[in-house]
Amino acid sequence: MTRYKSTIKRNVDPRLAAVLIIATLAAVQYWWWQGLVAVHRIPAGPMQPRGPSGGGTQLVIRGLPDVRVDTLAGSVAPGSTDGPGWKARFDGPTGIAAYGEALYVADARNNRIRLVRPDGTTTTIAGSEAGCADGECSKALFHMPSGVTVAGDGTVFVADTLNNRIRAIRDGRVWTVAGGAAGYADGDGTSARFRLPIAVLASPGPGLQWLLVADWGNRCIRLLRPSGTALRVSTLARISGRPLSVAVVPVGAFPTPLNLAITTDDGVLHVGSARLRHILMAYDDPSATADDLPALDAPLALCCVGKNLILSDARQGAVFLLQGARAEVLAGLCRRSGPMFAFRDGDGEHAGFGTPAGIAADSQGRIYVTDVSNNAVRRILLDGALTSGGKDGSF
Amino acid sequence: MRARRVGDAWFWIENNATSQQRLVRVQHGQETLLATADEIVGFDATSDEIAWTQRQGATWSVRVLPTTGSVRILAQSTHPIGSPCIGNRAVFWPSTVPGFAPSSPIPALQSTVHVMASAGAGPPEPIATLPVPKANIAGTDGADLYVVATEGTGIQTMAIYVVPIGGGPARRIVGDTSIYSTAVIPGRGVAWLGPSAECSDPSIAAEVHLADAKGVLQTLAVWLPAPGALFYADGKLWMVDATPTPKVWPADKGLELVHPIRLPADSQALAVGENEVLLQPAGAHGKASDVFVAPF
Repeated sequence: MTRYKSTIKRNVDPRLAAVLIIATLAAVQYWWWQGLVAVHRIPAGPMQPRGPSGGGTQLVIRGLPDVRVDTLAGSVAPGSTDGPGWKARFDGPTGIAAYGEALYVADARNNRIRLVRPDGTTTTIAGSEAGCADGECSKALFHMPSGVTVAGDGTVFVADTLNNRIRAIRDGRVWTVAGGAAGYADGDGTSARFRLPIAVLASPGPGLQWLLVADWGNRCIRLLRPSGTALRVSTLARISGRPLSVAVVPVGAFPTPLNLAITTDDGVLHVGSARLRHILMAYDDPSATADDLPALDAPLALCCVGKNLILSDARQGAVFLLQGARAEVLAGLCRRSGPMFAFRDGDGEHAGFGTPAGIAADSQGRIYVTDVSNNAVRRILLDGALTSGGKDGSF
Repeated sequence: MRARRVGDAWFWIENNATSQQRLVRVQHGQETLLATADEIVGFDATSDEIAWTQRQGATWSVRVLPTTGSVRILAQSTHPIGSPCIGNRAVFWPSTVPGFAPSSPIPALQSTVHVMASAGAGPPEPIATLPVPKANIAGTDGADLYVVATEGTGIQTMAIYVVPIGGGPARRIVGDTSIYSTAVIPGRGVAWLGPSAECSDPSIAAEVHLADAKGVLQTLAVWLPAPGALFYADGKLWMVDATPTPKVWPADKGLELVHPIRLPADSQALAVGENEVLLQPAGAHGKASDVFVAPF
């Protein structure tokens, strides 16, 4: 060891070492500035290990035993009826967020934000026909809202997709917190511009520290931070695909704390740390066959439960649990048996989803899924498999 | 619409030998060719004119032919246009507006449909935009237009919208669990064939429901065999089942049990009109076959 050290001391020119250190720092700064996140592509068909370290973790697909799926509210037929779960109707429910025992749903084709209670009772909290109007909830208008999230103080934030705005709902009123005409611009509140915001995610914890927006048309993730009485919009990351949803993963799903996970419409799951510096890769199971390997070829929605990442696949109509680089089927593969099984309650392997488009989890670890093609809010009950809670995120 | 009786003439769409489609009129045994195109999407006819949508290559167009006059093109598009409907002295048709990501399951990114209207010599104008990727016009009734929309990717559901012809927002009045046959009953609303709510196997039994422009629902008939199709002719609503022994069923007799009228076995109904049914052999759809009428 002594000889080795002395060899290095003898052979390294101090000026060269300084240049190398500066170059390394510049490269780190470049990656930081670019906001590049990891590409965690999970292709269809048999999978092979990929990535710089050549292996170590594997994407192992297996089912969980004690999972049950039921329908909390809605049915296949589209509609906008409020009432008990069996009677309530939705039309294109997309985004979903849990707050306490309440669920908020962005009911896209109905241009409404709906509130679903634990017993399935559904009410409309804002919206009616397509349009754009702030004010009292009963008079406010949305246009195809796709994403919804709830801040710690109970403020509901909505990605009002076709209005290119981020809207907020609290105390019976709706107002625009950011956006206006379609475009791309950072800045304060309504001077900022979005193009088809699809999903929105509020920071966990009591106050609003940040808001993340999946800006689909601009192919980027926008970060909104409180700045005085307004929210200041900046661009957190630009990515190759178009972002469909965002999640902050506290600890454990990937080996660096506080990860950010983003799904995109090119079938890629991007994962990076909160600072977006670390590139993480996942590896697939080369021993799996095409028959027993549920390829995640169209990841659509994300949410985090404790240390776990829950992910839906649009084409397969299935919901997966990602622990590290290991994926487990939670529910929904029954749809493979044919379209008639695309709306089926039951235990995980016998349940069927149409298109799981939004995922949320409550404090008890129960998972809720908006099934957009079945116009229903589905519930996944796990027998103590997941833990709740986690580290608060910060940017 | 694939076939229809108007006055004493039958109109239908048929395939020809060069894999194109033809729109023809048959009157007193005399066949008249009205249009030929790669695809005849659909048509509607009155005693005064016939309107149809055709696709030639990658161009869709809506055309109208008056009883006396020549063919006039009402609209052209490189995006899909649905079957037209004549009513209220205007021609209506659904026109697809491409979405940002038409194959996406997220509704905001999918295609939408403009309901277009052409009245007189002016250019066509949209009278409604529906947040659905596909729609067909069921018909007009007074000042309202009924539009049947298809939603969902993979699993498809049906929604019926009422569009005020004079202006105003379109309203969804009905949602059902699949795509079913519909027919407009003048003065009453739109009827559709839905799965039986009472039979344990909805694929073998059907019901007929009616919705008026305000969305008030009523059931017109129960325990009809499935599958089948609805037709409105001679002031009555008929349902013709598509079983191996097809029958014509009166479909607006309320909840009383009805006596069907038998049709020749192994035939398939194309249209109903003036106490006769236009038939072709079962399984002949898309193939060369005889077309015949059976009185009932």
